[in-house]
Amino acid sequence: MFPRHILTICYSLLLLASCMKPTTLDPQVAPEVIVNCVLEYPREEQALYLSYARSIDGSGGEGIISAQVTLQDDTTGEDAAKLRHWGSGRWILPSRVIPGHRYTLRVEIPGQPVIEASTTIPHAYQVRHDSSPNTCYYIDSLGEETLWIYTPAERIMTDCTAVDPFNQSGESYHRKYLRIPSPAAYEPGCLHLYPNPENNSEVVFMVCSEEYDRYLKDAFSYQIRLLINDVTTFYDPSNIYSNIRGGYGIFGARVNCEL
Amino acid sequence: MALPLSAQTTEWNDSIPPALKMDSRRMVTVPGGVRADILTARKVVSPLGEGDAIKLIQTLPGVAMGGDGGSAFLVRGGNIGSNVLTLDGVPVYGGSHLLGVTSAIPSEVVRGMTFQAGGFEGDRDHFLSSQVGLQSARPSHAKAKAQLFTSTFLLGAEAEIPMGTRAGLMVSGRISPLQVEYNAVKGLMKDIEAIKDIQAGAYDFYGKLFYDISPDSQLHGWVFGSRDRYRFNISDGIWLGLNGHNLIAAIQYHSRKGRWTHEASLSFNDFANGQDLIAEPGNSWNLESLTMTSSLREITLKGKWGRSVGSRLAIDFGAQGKMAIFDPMGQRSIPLTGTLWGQADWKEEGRYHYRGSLRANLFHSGEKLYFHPELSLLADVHLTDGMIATLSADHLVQFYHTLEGLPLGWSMDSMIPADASTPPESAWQVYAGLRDSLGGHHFSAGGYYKQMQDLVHYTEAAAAFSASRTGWKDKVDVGTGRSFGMELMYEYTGERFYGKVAYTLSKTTRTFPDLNDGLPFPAKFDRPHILNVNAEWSLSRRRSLQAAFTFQSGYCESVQTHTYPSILPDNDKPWNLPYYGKQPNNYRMPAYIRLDFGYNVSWSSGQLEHNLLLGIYNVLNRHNPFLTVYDRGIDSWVELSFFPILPNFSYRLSF
Repeated sequence: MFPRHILTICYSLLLLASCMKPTTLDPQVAPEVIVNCVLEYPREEQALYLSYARSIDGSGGEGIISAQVTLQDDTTGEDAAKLRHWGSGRWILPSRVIPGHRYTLRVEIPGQPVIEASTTIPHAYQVRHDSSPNTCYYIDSLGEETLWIYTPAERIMTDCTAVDPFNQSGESYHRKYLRIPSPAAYEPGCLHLYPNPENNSEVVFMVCSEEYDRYLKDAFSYQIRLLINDVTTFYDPSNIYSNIRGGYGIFGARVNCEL
Repeated sequence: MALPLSAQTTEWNDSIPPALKMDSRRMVTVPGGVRADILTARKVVSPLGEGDAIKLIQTLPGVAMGGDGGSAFLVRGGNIGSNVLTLDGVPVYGGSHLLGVTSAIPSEVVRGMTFQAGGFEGDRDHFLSSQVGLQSARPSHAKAKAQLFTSTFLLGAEAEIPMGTRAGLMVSGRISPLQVEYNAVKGLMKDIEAIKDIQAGAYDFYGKLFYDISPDSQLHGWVFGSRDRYRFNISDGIWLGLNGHNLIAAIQYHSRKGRWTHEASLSFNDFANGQDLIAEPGNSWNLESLTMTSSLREITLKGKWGRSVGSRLAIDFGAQGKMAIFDPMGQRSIPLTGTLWGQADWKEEGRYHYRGSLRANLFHSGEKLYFHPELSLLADVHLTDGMIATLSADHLVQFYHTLEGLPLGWSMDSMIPADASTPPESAWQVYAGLRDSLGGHHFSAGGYYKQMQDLVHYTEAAAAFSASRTGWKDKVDVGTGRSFGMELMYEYTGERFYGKVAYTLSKTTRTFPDLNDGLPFPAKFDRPHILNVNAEWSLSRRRSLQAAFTFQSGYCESVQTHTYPSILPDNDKPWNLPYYGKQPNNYRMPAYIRLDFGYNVSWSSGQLEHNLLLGIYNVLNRHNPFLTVYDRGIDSWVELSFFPILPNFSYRLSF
C-alpha cells in the first residue's frame, strides 16, 4: 500500500493552490482488436476472447464473432487447428497443449490486418507439500520460467528471498500474489507460504510464459495503483505489455498446479 | 558620464577560463555555451523569489523546461538526466530543494556559472547534453563579510572570514521554515483529502577553506551538504516519507608556474534518496512499516596539466579515475571509470579559435569492460569585425543512467550504472551558427542535429515511489533518439535597458523497439516552439524592474484512448485495462505561457547593505497543465496545473 499517494502528496504540497479543470482530449485513435488468450496446461480446452477495445466513455467493446482463428503447434509443425466461436467473442479449441512446445496464433478478421502472436508453453513441474503445522512446499523440475503463487486471501508472505517485491504491501506481505523470477536458481528445499487471513489458505501455483509473466506484472502494478486512486497513475503512462502483432491484448501460457 | 555598458570590458580570471565580459548584465558567449555571474541568475523571477543558474538556463535557446516551476530542463533533445550540474568541477547529483523548486546550492557561495551544450572541453564529466558548471566564490582575504537572507521558503546566513594574509574561510547555511509556515497557515488552507498533516524540513550547508600556498598556487577544501525530508500523514497511524541528501567533500589544488598550470582534485560524493512508510501499530490500513533507499557514493581523483606553446597554442591534458557504489533499491554494483584526455586550443584573439579534445574512457561494470572514446571539435572564426561563425561536433558518452520520474528536476530520481542490459548512452551532435554584434545589439542564429543511442526509458515514471521500483530492471527500455532544430537569440544592451529574445524551433523523437512497432514517436518534451523574452529596466543605480515572458509548445502526453478486459488467473471478473494507443505521447498539451514581473531594489544604512527582490510569478494566472486525469466522477478529462499567480520575495542583508 506504501507509496500510493506519495506523488499526489508531493504535488499537493507544491500546490496548495493548484487547479484542476475539465478539458477535452480526443487523440482520435480507432479501436484496436483485442485478443486475450492464455493457453493452459493441463486444461483440456483452450479459450480465446476476441473483441474491439472499448471507448473510454464505456461504449463499444463488442465481441467479434466473424473471424478465422487458428492455433499452430510450431514445434511439431502439424496443421493449424481452427478455433470455433462459442458466443460473445469467445472462441474455443477442445485440445490440450504440450509443455515446452511453441504455438502461433493467427486471427483473420475481414477488413482488418492479420493478427499474429506466439508463445511457448512452460515446462511441467510438480509441487509436493508436507502436513507439518507450517506447511512445507517442495517444487520439483522447475524451468527458467517465472513462478507465480496465488491465494484468495488478501495478502501472502513467504520465506523465499527471491520473491519480486513489486506488489509488496509492507516489510513482509505481498498483495494476493507472489512472483518468483528464475525459481530454478532458488533451491530452498522447503518453501513456506503464509496467506493472511489464515482461514483462506488455499494456494495455486502456476508457471507462466515470458509473455504472460510480463503482462501479469504490468496489470497488477496498474491495479494496485488504481485501487488507491493514485492520480499519478496517469502521469507518463505506458501500455500494459502486449505481444499481439496487428492488435492488442495478450497471447501467453501457463502451467497450473492447484493444491 | 559613464561609458555605454557594451563598451566596458572586464577580464575574467581565477579558475574560470578567460573570456571577455561585455557588460555587467548580459550573459557572455563562450565557445559552445554561455557564462553569467550569479547576479544575473538571481534576477530571474522564480516561484521562490530568487532565481538560480537553472532558472537562467531555462531561458536560453535550445533548452526546454520540464515541469512548471521546477529545475528540470532538456537540452537539444536530450533527457533531463542527460545534463550534469557541477560545483567547482564536482558533480552534484541532487541539485535541488523543495521538490525541485529551487537550487540546493546557495547562490551566496556561487560566483558564476557556465553552461555548455557543444564544443566541450576535455576536462569535464560524462553526459549527453550539457554541463552546468557553478564556480564557487573565493573567501575574502582582506575583510570579514557576512550576509543574512531570506526568501519565501528559505532563510540563511553566509560569512567570509579572513585568516591571516593567505587564508580565508567561507561558511553558509540555509534552512527552510516550511514547517513553521505550514503550521501557521494550515487552518486557512483548503482541505487536501490525501493529507492529514505534514512534517517538512530542508537545509543545506557549505564551508570552504582557501589557502594561498604561494602567489601562484592555491589549495582549497570545501564541503557541501543538503537534506530534504518530508512526511505526510495520510491516514490514522500512517505516515509516508520522502528523504534525499547530498554530501560532497573536495580538496583541490591549483598552481601556475611559467607556462605550466597544474590542477589536482580529490572528491567524495554521497547522494541518496529514499521513501518510507511509518505504520504505527494498530494503524487504520493494517500496514507494516517499509523503507526503500537508493544511493550513489563516488570517489573521484583528477589531475590536469596545461601549457601554453607560443602565443597561440595551449595544450591541456589530464586523467580522471572514479569508483562508485550504486545501491538502487538494494541492487548494489561498483562500477569503475578511468579517463585520459587531451585538448588543444589554437587561438588568435579577434580572428579564430579552434579546439579539439579527445577523451579515452574505460568503464567497468557488471564484470564487463567498455572502451568508449569521446571527441569534441570546435571552430570559432571571425568573418568580419563583429561576425563570428561557429562550428562544433561532439561525440559524447554517458555511463550513468537516470531513471526519470516526474520532470520537476528534484532529487528523487534513481541513478543506475550502465551494464550489459543498459549499455552506455552515446550521442553525436553537430552545431553550426553565426553571431554578430552591432553596437548594443547582439544576434546569434544556428542549427543543430543530434543522434542519441542507448537511451533508457523508465516505463514506471509514475511509480517512482512504489515498491515496483525495486524491479526497475524489468521496466527499462533501451532505444534511440533524434533531435534537430534552429536556435535564435537577440540581445540588446543599453545604458538602462537590457532585453533578450530567444527562440527555438526543433523536433525531437524517440524510437524504442517495443513501442509503436519500432517507429519513431515524439519525445515527451518535444516542444517545437520555445520563445523566451526577458527584459530589465534600470530605474536607477539601485533599482530595476524585470519582466519575463515564456511561450513553449505543450509537452506530449500519452492519453488513454480505450480500455480492454484483462485475463487473469484468479477467475475474478475481468477488470478494464487502459490502452494509450500504439504511439506513446499521442496528444500534445496546450501551450505553456507565463509572464513574470520582478522588482529589485538595494539601499544602504550605515554599514548595512540591503537588497530586496519582489516578484510576481505567473502574472497571467494561467493554469498551465502539468498532467491530465480522466475523472470518472464527472465523466471528463481534467487538467492539473500547479502554480497560479504567486507573489514572492527575497531579502538580503550584507555587512
